[in-house]
Amino acid sequence: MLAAILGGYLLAIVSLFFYQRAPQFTSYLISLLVAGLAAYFFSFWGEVTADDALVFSYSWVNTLEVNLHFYLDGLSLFFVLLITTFGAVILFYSSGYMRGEAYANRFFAYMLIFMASMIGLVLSANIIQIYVFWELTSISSFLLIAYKSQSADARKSALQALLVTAGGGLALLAGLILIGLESGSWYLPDILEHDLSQSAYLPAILVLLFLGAFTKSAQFPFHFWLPNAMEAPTPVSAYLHSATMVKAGIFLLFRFNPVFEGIEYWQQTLMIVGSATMLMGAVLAMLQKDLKKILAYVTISTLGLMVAAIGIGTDAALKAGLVYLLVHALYKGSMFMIAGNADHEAGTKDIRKLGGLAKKMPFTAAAAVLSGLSMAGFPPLLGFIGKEKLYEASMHAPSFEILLTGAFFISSVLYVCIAIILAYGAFFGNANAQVYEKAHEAPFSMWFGPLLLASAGLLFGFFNYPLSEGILGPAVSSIAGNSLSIDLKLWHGFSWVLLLSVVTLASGLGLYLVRNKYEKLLSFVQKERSWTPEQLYFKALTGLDRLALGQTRFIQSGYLNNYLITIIGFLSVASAYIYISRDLLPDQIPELAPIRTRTVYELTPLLLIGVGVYKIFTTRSRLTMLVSIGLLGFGVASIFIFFSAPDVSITQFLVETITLLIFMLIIHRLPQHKLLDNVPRQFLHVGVSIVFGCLMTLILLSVESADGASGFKDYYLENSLEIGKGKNVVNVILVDFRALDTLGEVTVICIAALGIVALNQLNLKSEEK
Amino acid sequence: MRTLLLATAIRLLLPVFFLFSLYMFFRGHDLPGGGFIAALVLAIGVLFHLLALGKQKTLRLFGNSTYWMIALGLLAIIGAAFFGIFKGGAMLEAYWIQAKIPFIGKLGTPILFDAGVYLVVLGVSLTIAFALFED
Repeated sequence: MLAAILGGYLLAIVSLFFYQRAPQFTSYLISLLVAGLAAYFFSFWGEVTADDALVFSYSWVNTLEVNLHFYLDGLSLFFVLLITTFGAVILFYSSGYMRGEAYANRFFAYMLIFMASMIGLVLSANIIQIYVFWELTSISSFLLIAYKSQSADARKSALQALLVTAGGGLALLAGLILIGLESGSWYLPDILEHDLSQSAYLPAILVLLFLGAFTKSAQFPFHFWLPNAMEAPTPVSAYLHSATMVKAGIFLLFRFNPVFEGIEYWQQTLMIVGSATMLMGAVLAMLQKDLKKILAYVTISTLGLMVAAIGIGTDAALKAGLVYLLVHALYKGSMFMIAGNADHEAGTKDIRKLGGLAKKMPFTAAAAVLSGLSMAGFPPLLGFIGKEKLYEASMHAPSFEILLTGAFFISSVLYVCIAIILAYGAFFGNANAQVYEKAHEAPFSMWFGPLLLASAGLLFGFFNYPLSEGILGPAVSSIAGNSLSIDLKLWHGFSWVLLLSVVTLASGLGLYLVRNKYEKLLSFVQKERSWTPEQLYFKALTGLDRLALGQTRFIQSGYLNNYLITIIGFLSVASAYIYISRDLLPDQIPELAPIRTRTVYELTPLLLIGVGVYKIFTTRSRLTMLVSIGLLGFGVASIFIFFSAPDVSITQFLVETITLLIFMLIIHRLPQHKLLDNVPRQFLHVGVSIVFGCLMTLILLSVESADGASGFKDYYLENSLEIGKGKNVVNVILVDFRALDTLGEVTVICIAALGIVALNQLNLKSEEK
Repeated sequence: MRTLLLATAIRLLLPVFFLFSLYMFFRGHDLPGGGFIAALVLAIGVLFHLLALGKQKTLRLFGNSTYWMIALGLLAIIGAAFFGIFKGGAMLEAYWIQAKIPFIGKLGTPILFDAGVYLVVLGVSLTIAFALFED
């Protein structure tokens, strides 16, 4: 199982390095292997039933209770089959679509990384693991949208998608952590049994989960990233942005439905946000002229539809939502590939220029007709069953049944109209001579996929017993939290639902005939506005930039003495706070060992220090000042000699010397030395110096009085030779006892050196200009 | 600081600085000294060389090797740190060769660690000096 999940990542590396050698062979091999993966997961067919789930566990970060648990129940099996079969079909399609692209190896690698992450996400039984895979899908989506990295639009859209979805992911992480803490378990099957409805954190948990799910599944007001993500190559739109990744949010809602089912906030938020998104997406889709943009808005709308179905929350609604998810994946995956074919083989995605292509592209047109019929909900396709189920669910909803049915009706009418525009308008009707001349049928690899998915929509309409029994039934059972079965019948007898379906189809056709008026009616929607969610997103970004700039200007003044004052001041205040708050101030000055002055020359260091200090305050030359500071340092260093700390003393001598020398190297590059004539500033400098001096004295005194208690000194002295095998305790501490500290310090000075070199280069460059 | 006296002297003294720095390094585990001090000794010698003879002449001796020193030094430190893990012990655990090696003395992962510190400190000081110094 672990191999099946992580195999995708391995395959990604393989494709990265070997694709260029044999592009066709590698891409066929990849789709074949992914098909094999799908077959592997199909082998669980029958093992996973409504009451039975499989668990696979692997130890990972055991101490943090983060382990790799994979959980295969009806819902995850449904999703994993969706991901792998669509993966195989779309990768096969990509083998034709990406032929001749310079960086196709990266494309396949990203697609495989995405697929593996998505599989990991739906199979995760540990909620932290869910988050990890969740963000991995966002990152691979970012890489795929930015695939055409030379295009500024692609980069911008990729960043937008990443910020929105990964930002939502962070909210999700917080929500998952709250769930974990509240339920006392990180293990999904345990959590699903848990009742969180009485938790004090329930509102927070719900809001965070919603943020995660709504950003990922492009719900209002986070929908704007999805149409922009159409910058990605078409197979990416077909795979990530219609069939799988955007459904991760729906998956999350499905997954946690048993926990939150029946909670009013949960049901109503989903119902309202879902319906709003559904209507908005459908209305806006009609106004688009670009095939892929139309499809993107329909995707947003359909995702809203599923969210609304979860919001209704009855068994019938959950079933309808799940069935519609499959319906949508089939027709939308196929339609995106059809749009790709039109773009690739006829040279345009603009629906105003496309028309009459059926003669030139018969297989693509057949796929378009089939998926269009399924989208419109025409019998006997699976789309018809999906729509019937939806109407049935909304008519028997526990509340707002009229409003919900109305919303479903309006969006369904719009879907019918859009389906006609897509399938009929592009492939029949009047041909644009220029486009028509150039157009030709796509190669086998590129019409096989869409036709396969579209035909599946037809096949499942008639023959769906194994599907409903083997997968959909167990899946809806895991969503609802109790054993259910799904019955996908085409014919339910005469009913209100059937009548509504017929009216929908007729109104859709009618709308198609008057669609130009619709556009005029809604022209106000297309006006530029400053308060759309997308504009707010851009405003937030520029605001963030400004904040960062202001903060940098405030903190990074560029004056070394400001930095020193800040650092020393902060250290002093923080230490003083600790001293006072913990009451560490010594009551009396501890008795210090008397200084045994044996000879007069032991007083010379004091003389050196005195002369140094005097010179620092009297000289006007920078060089003299520098030498005086050195003198002071040497004085301190010689004190160490008398108190038998030769290592410290040598080090200080050397450091003083090298500091002086390095200063000599650059002294001629510094500006003219000036004395500070700003009086408040002088007081500040003196004040900071005095406070810092007092603080250091205080620290030294406390160290002196606490020294005996810690026992470190004795430990090091006793064990240096025995354990550290060295007589020089200082050195043994540095390289053995406290080597980890040294490791950190050494790394820091390396980074500092790199920083100095880099800054110096920068300086040179600006001088050259 | 272009004085003939210093320029002539430092050319002859640089090897002495080097030998003294090696001496400080190897005595370090038992007597005052060690990687940090030893590296500073040599760095001071090189800085005098730089001041007395100019960047060109010093760079002829060192070239790009200062970056290599930093890299190798970090590698040595990390190697010493991970040696214990590969041996099945803890990170940074000390391992010693039992036999004493003539002229050098004891050998073990702390010595390798110290050698890493030596290289990094030398490399960093020289890198900074070369970056900042202009003739």
